[in-house]
This record gives sequence, C-alpha cells and structure tokens, in this order.
Amino acid sequence: MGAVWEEGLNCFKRVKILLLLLGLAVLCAVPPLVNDPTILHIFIYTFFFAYFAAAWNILGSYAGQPSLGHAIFFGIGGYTSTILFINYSITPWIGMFVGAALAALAALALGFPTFRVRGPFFAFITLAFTLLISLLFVYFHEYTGGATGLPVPLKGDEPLLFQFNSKVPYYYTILAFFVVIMCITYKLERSKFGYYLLAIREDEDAAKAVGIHIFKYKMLAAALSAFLTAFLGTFYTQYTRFIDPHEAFGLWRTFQPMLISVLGGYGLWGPLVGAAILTPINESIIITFGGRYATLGMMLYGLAVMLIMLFMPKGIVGLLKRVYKHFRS
Amino acid sequence: MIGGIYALAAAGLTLIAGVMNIINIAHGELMMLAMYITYFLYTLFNIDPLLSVVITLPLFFAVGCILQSLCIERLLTAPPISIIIFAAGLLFFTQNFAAFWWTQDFKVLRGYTTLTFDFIGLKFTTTRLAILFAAILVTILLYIFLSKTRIGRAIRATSQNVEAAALMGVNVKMVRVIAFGLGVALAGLAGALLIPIYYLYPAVGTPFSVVALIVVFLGGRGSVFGALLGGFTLGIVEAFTGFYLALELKDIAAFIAFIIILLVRPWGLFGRRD
Repeated sequence: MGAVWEEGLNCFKRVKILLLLLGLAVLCAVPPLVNDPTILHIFIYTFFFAYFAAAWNILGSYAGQPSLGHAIFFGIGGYTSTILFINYSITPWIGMFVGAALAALAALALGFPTFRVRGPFFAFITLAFTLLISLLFVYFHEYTGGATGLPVPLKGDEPLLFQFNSKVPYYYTILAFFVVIMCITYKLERSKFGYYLLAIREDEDAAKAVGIHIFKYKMLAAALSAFLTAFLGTFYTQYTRFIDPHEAFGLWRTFQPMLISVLGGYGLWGPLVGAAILTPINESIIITFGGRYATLGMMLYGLAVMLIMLFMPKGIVGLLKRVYKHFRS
Repeated sequence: MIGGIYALAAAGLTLIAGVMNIINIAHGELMMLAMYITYFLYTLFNIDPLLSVVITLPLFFAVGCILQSLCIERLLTAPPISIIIFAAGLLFFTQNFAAFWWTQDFKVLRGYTTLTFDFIGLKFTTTRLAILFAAILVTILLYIFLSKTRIGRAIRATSQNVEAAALMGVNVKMVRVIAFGLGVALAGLAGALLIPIYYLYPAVGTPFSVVALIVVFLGGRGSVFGALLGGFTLGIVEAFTGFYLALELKDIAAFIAFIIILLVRPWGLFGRRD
C-alpha cells in the first residue's frame, strides 16, 4: 500500500516537473510566434513585474515586512550601472552586480534603524526613506543628472554592453532572470532560513522565544531582497535607456511590487499570477488611452487592493486554492 | 507658522496610533483631500477657507468613523500586514483619484486677502496669524477634550491598556470609531488650514505624512501632547534651518534627527517604552 502511494507521489512529481518544463518551452517559443513588438513588450513587462514582486516577496511576504522602500533598491541598481557605464565605460553586465551589492548594503543600512520598529510603523518609515533618497538623488545632480535624469549612451546593437536593437534578447534576459528568482524562491521556501522568516512573520515574540535571531534574519532577508531588486533596476534602465527620480522612486514604482503580490497572493506563484493579470490591463490602458487614464487605472488598483484585503486577503492564488478544495470535497 | 499644521496632523496620527497600535499611512492623503475640498469651496462657492472648516471637520469626522467601522475594525483581527496594505491601497487610491479628477497641475488659492503688518521688526501676514491662532485654539480644545470629558478619558485609557479599559466598562469599539474619526478630522483640519498658505497638487500629502510620522516618533507613539509639542518644535527648527542652511537641506536635517531617534530612543522622546 505504502509503495503504491510512494510511486504515485513520484509519478505526480515527475508530471509536475514535465509540466513546468513544457511551460518554460512555450515561453521560450514566444518571440518567434509573436512578431508584434507591442505584444512582446507586454510579455517583457509581465515578467518584469513578476520578478519585481517575487523579489519583494522575500521580505514583504515571507518575512512579513511590507516594505515600501524597494524603489530605493531598484533605483540604486539602475543608477549604479548607468553611472559606471557613462563615467568609466564599465559594461552594465558588471555594473549590475556592483549595483546589487550596493543595494544590499543600502538595505542593511536602512534596516539597521527601521527594523527596531515593528509591523505597521515599518512600512511608513520605509516610505519616508524612499522620499528622502529621492530628494538626495535630485540634490546631488552632478552625479545623478538631478530631476532630468540620466540617459544611457546609445551604442547600437551591442550584446556585451547590454544593448539590443530588437526586443527579443530583452525578453530572453528577463525570462532568465525570472526563472532564476523562481528557483531561489523555491529553495527559500524549503530552507531553514525560509522557515525562520515564516516564523517571524507569524509571531515575532514566539519566534524570539524559540531562539530565532529576529534582527539578523530580517536583515538577511532585506539584503537578499534588495540584491535581487537591483538587477531589475539595471534591466529596466537598459531596456528603456533612461532613468530619472520619477521612474526610479515614484509612487508607482514604490507600490508596484506590493500591488502585484497582494493581487496575485503570497507564495511562489502569486507574483506571476498577479503580474499576468495586471500587466496586460495596465499596458493596454496606457497604449490605448494615454497618460491621464493611467492614473484612472492606478486609482482602480488602489481600490482593488483595499477590497482584496477586506474580502480575499490571500489574493487570487488563495481564491483558486479555495475553489479547488471546494470541488475536491 | 507651519508648526501648527504639523502639530494638528501629528496629533491625529498619534491618536489613532495610540488607540489601535496601527499607523495610518494615508494620513497625508486625507489632508490632501481636505485641501482640495476647501479649495473648491472657495473657488466655486466663495466660502472662506477658515469658515469652511465648519463643513470639512464634520465631513472628515464622518469619513473617519465610516472607514473605521466598515473597514479597519474588520482588519484588526486579520494578520497585522493586511491593515498596512489596506492603508497603502487607500493612499494609492486617493492620490491617483486626485490626479485623475483634478489633474497633476499645481493649484494656488488666488485672490485671498492677505494683509501684512510689522511687529517688533518681524513681518506677519494676517492669514498666517489666523492659521496659527486656529491651530493653537484647536490644540487647547483637544487638550480639554482628552483630559476633561468622559470620551476623552476613555480614549486615553484605551491607548494605555486596551484590556484594562475594557474591563473598566469602556466600550472599546466605540472608542476606536471616535478616535479614528477624530484623527481623520484633525488631518482634514490641518489640510483646510494649510491651503491658504500653500500650493496644492495630488502628491502634496505624502511629505506631510512623513513629517507627521517624524513628529509622532519625536513625541512618543500615542502621546497627543507630545505630538502637539513636537509639531510646534519641528516647525520652529525647520524655519531656522531653512533660514540658515540651504532650503533643500531642511528636510534632510529632519530625517537625520529621525534616524537618531530611531536608533537611540525608538519609543520617542516623551513616550513610554513598549
């Protein structure tokens, strides 16, 4: 009986892996199938947002610290690689790692005072720091270009400099990023570190009582989350070839990962589900109606977040799980 | 003069923080909404901003009560993260709401009479003085309300210890509704008083939220009197740093003070340790 059960479980696992590989193959085949740059752009942004939310999730959902400071790490990534490229002609492929390291350091520096404060106050303080960093970036305009921002110098089709003329290589880059972060999250969910973070999220006092060093693990989660977020900053800057304080630290960037995570639901698949729903809607609103209606869209996302928190706090993934359970029993 | 505004905004924020141990991240956005309402009451119906407080104050009190009884009360039993995300959603919603309906353009209350006069060598404008007096008046009223009335004492009791207050027969749920309503009303009042001397755009609230947050930590979480004192102090400090240092550095100075407070006394200058 036990052996049969074991075999069935193995078989199930194999099917799951096969399905995942099949899904990945389909995603790899997207660019040749879709020749339309607009649709490819939407695909790129979907994985972009999914990656952003997944990076946020490590601190925001696994460790239960809903940060509104991830725009800082995003901005550090984008600015570092661009400043290094302009001033020292270091390729953004290397600048990306420098930016990520700096972002991790920034996360530790920010975490040191902010993690002294718990839950509700934490989000507010991180938002305050985002505003401060934005001010600083405008103030030191000789390095950062101030409020006008920094354009990435155009070098044509140079894969070594992270510049491509077509959208296809950008698509494969962001897809690779996304696969990597999914693997990291998967590993995290099953590691001791991941369980520590969950314990901190569920009950800080209880976690402390069983001997988890709360401050240390919060700091580690923040550093990892910031490190991964900074890569996205570089990708975004190379893709749009421009970065300014509004793009890096604006309201939309600040709230983006939280909105997507909340909509999709926490856990491994939440970010992808959230991004797959939100991005096509958002981009088509912008493409068809233009700037002013973008704020209408965002207004509705804000409303959606409030309603989700009131009526389905586990997001769409949670809802699907509930429906699935309902039908099985 | 702006210290009075800081004091009012921070008092509202800390009142809510004290009673429920939550912090309303959308506090400045409620202020922003009050500014728009006051602005339109003046431009469309020609109602004086100081007079329109009679409309905005009850309106915002009602909004606060409704928010508390319909939404926040439900979320208090959910994991703490949901309440933060709810407030963040509220912030994002209100700011984009304003940007959509009233556009991103800057608005200034034009044609509002300001008389200037000299007093011992300092220049004063009547509007600014009126605002300062209004802020001080409200501060005194709030003080009397919290220390002398039954509801005020119930609010302070609840913020000290919820269980003990409930055991003493305080209707804690009611106290929460009133405290939240009052907090929102104070945000509305701060906004209404601010509009004659400030400019208006959809994101105007967030910096004020941040300042109010700093003041709340300065005064100690939940301490209304600390917040009032801290607000006026920060206003004076800012005026001086803005005068002697570069204008851009004035916000940064406040932040550095904030970081030091977080590191040294996370429970605030006048607050109690958790």
